[in-house]
Amino acid sequence: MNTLNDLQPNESGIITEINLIGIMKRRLIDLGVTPGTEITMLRRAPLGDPVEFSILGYNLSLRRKEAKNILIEKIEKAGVSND
Amino acid sequence: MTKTDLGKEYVFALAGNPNSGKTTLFNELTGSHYQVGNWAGVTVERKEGICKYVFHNHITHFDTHEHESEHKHDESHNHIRIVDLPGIYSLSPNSAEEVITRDYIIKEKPDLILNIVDATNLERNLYLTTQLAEMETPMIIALNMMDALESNGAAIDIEALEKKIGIKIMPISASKGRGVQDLVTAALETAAHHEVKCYPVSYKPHIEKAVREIKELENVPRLCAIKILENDERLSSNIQNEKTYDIIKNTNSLVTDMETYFADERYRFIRSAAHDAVTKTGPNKQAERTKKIDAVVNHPALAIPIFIGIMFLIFQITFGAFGTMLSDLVDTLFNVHFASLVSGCFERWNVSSFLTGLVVDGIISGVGGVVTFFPQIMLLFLFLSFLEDSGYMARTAFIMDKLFVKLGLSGKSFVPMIMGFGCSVPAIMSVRTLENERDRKLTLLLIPFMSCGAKMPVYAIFTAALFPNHAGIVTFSLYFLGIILGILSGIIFSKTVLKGDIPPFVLELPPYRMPTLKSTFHHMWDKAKDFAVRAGTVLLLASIIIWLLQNLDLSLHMVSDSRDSIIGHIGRIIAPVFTPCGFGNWQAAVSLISGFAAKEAVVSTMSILYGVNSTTGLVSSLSQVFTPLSAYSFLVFVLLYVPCVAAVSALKTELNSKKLTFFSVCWQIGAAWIMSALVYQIGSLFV
Repeated sequence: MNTLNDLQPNESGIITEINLIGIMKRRLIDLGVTPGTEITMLRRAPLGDPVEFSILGYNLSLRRKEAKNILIEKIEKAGVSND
Repeated sequence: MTKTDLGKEYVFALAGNPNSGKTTLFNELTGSHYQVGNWAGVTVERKEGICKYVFHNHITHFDTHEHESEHKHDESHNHIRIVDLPGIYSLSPNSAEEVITRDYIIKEKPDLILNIVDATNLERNLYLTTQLAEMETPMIIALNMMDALESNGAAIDIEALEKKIGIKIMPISASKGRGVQDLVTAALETAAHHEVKCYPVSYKPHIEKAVREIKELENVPRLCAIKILENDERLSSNIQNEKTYDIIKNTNSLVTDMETYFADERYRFIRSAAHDAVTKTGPNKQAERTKKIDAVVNHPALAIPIFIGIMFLIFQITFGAFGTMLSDLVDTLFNVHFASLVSGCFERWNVSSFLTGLVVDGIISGVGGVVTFFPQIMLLFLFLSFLEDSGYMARTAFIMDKLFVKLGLSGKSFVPMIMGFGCSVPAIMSVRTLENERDRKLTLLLIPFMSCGAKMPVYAIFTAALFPNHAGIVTFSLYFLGIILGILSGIIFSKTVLKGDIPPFVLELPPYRMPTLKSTFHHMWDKAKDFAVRAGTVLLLASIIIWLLQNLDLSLHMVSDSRDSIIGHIGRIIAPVFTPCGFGNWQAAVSLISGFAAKEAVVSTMSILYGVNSTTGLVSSLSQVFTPLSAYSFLVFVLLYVPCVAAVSALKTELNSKKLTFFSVCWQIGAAWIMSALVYQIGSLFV
């Protein structure tokens, strides 16, 4: 099983499960990080953490610690048209 | 146009996501007619303004403020009170801001919710809309950034969207002022009808039933019924009817994860609404531009050098030749020309020397010492407003976060701390922008350790007197020591007083936008105004008190030598406290006390106490009184103890706690004493 933390720049995935609790989970859900939504990794911060993602047409950054708890199904590159 | 009840003052609540242009719309609606305060019990800014409109030929005209005077005596001139709610993403109780918004709408029942939605980020913005719509308050949507939509490569069919959501939508472009008048007209119409439209999102039949039942039993808006089903802690603790618990239990046994279920349904609805109403017309230029800028600004190797470069440039302009020139100009105008004008007049009117002294040497020079910094503070705010409005500020938090996590802080604390090197007051005020209370408090407690600009004159005079050949390294070591003490305090606080998990970091990185000149200046003035008010109140009072203490003796008679003044007595009582630090003379103690008013006052007080009236005179006096070691230990004390009255009063406002403010002041004085005593005692072993 892949997590959001396994995505490399420009790789995308479909969110399948969010293994977080409390405020963090609610906050992510409110921001559209819900199962079934497509998410693309854009870049890591210069020091390696946090990571920037693109979701629902806007950019969101999360720490790797939290990204590790969001499960995804990778979309294979062949199926993704870049832009 | 339907008749609006004349004479009734409507209250409109402005709600929307962060970065949706809410502040710009608020400014467009209210002009300069607004007040800033705090929401009760929390340090979240509450802004309220008045939007004026007039009736003319049975049509509502939104009154732009330019010709406001024309209508001043017009009977039909009406007011709308606009309450600017904090920028939020949802009505879940994730943060103080979200709780405030929900409570406000429930308890204070505004006549209308004016929901601003960013057309270029439609899906995420509509999430809050679906929740607001369930608050059972008349509502209208201001679809903002319509001008940017085209370059985003999209078009929105407003009628189709309106039909789907069931709420009136008005297209606007707040930054260009377009559509705002029509928005006000439509908003008044909606408010007058007391229309509460049907709810856009519908749920599974048995959930729908549970929501309706809870709504009846608890007598709450639909959204609260949903939140009760989600086991919202705040609302659940307030359940009135026993039956509600049974309903929650039953429904929760059918759906395992309520929160995700409701969010899913909302986003499903939003997706279908967007599908119906949004068409793609071309490439998204805004996204492409953001991508290009980010490729450079967030580049693994270049990001930090670019950031340091930008900060260096800002400091260079603000505190370098240009800013200094502006400051000198104000200094000459205020402290030389204005002061001599006043003392000239006083002389002519035969005002007593006591009053002249109080006004000229006390008030004017005291307030003047700070007013001098005003141009630099304006400049600093101008740059920082630009960085914030353009979207770069969010990137600095992204870039620096990893380092700050190690201190128990978040990357978002970085910019306020950097500003602390300029002046603690604006730095403390800028902490408002952090959304987490723990982050806010921790950052506030650390800012005073960042060596502020007002300490520079003290360093300059002492290094000139005692370290003429090592001025640079001595000054640098002080800045460095401040940072180290800040870091240590941060680590200690996050493990003790402000114990708790590091709050999660979820940060939106908005697209880069070129801020308009108008909004940048508005933003700058918003912040600078606070500083001006403070100079006129707190500092005025402090200057008066210090001057009186310095010129009156215990029997309240004027003294010629400040040694006999009240402050002189206090100085002699306090002086022994500093003996372990190596500067147990009363002049040093007194100048440290006057340093509470403003740090530069340390230097001016010393000039008075040593009876010198030039910098060279002071330099030679200091080199006789102090040894290099005691001078350094004195500087360490100046570096670490309370910045000034203005900073403490800002700290109290932002911390919103007398206890924590008192703790912070004690901590700083304690750290200052211990460090300077350590420096002197350990140093004495070697020298």
